[in-house]
Amino acid sequence: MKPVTSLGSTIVLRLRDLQYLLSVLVAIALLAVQPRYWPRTVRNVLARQILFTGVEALGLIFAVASVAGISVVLQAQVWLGKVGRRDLLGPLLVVVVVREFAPVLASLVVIIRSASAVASEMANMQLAGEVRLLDAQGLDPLVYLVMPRVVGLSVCAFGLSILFVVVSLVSGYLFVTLLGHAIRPRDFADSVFGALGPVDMLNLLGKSVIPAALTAVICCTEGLSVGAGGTEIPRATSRGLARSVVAMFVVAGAISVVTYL
Amino acid sequence: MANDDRTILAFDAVTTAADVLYDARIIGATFALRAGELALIRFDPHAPRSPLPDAAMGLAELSGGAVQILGQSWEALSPRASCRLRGRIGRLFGMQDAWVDHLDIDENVTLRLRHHTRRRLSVIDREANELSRAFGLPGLPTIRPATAEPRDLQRAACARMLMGSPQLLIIDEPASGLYSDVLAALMREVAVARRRHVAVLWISADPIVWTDDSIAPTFRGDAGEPGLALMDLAKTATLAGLTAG
Repeated sequence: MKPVTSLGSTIVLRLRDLQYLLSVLVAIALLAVQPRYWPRTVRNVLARQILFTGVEALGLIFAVASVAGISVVLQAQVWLGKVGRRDLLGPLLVVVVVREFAPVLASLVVIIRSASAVASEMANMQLAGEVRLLDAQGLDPLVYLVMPRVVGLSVCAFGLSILFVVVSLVSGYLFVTLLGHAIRPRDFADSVFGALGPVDMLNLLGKSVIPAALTAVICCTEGLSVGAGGTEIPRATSRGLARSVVAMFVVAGAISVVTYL
Repeated sequence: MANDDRTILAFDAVTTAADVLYDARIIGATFALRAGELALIRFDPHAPRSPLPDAAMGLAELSGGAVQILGQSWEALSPRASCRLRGRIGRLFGMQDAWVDHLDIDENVTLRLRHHTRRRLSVIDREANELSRAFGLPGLPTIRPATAEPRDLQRAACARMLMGSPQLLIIDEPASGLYSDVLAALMREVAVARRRHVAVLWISADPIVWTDDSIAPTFRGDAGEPGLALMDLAKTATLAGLTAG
């Protein structure tokens, strides 16, 4: 009976965590659509977050997307040629790159670069009394600290996913051209764009924005919930990172299932 | 000193809840502070983390009573309204003399005004520079707090408190050890602020503050005792005069 009780308690705890995260996310979404919650100080934090998470990640995204694009486009071109179904190149690339690789790998880049940074920054601010200092000056930590990070990470994840798609397809196409397997650029573009539908764009949007928003909420709440003691900072950071990765794969899997239903 | 008799801050039988953030509790505190008045409150220097400033700002959890700011109870205010009101309070932080580390000192000093008002940055910067000079700085420092001299940080903290002509000043400096020149400048600027009908809550155990006549407090009190009720020095003086006569 004990293992069952333990399992039940764990599930209840996890569900409570999920409920809390979702309530924070909804509260932020409701705040973020109201211009009065975007004074210049909050916009500054958003700009800094976008600079760090988006602009400074461009090099890494270019590198990952180029390698992934070369691998996928080359293999798709070769294997579809062997089975005589080159007409499926576009749909296959849309499914593999647009629906799966781009949002998942861009989200991973965002998580790797920003999740631990956000969690440790929040934890340090909490321990140093900076969060109370902000509160005492009338700067709501939810508005000043959490909201711009949620919006910043979401915007960056979506932007980086789009960039990932473009870079991977272009680099893949250029590589197979170099190897002499090329089709005409226009045929390649027609094949990809012809297979691209609204569902694919919604898929890309959901798989990039939702995990990024959850990552920001998870890492901010983990960081802001530290008690006394510097040893809690690395624990909060690693917890935030691990939970963000799990959330990303769960969301990506759930969206994939919904897409194919 | 002031002909403006609005009540800026009122404590009504306030008792704070036990909290690890503080070294002590407030039990049954009742007092009112009107525009232009200054309450000088002693706190136990061995228990320097006082809940009084946070209680005045609606940040400490209360287990009884109510705190009113500008006629409104903190508990009745929405989170947004509370934040806006806190934006009208200037505070000199004591033991929690925190700076936002990733912002430069000038950004820290102007943060409250940049957040709560739409004043032009040039206007805000001009005020910050003037206040910085009033406290002996050559101008507003544009370096990170971690790299600044402690004396300059104290000066900048004083300037930050006075930014935007707040209606209430909370000087929370138990055991903060203000440099003598900074303390002198602070006393001078507080006197100027009081002439503009700013109410001041000054928490200190520093003997210099308690013995310096230039502060001219309206009330004195001891937060270490249950039922903090401020002693009205004007009435006390009158009574003392009658007794003497």
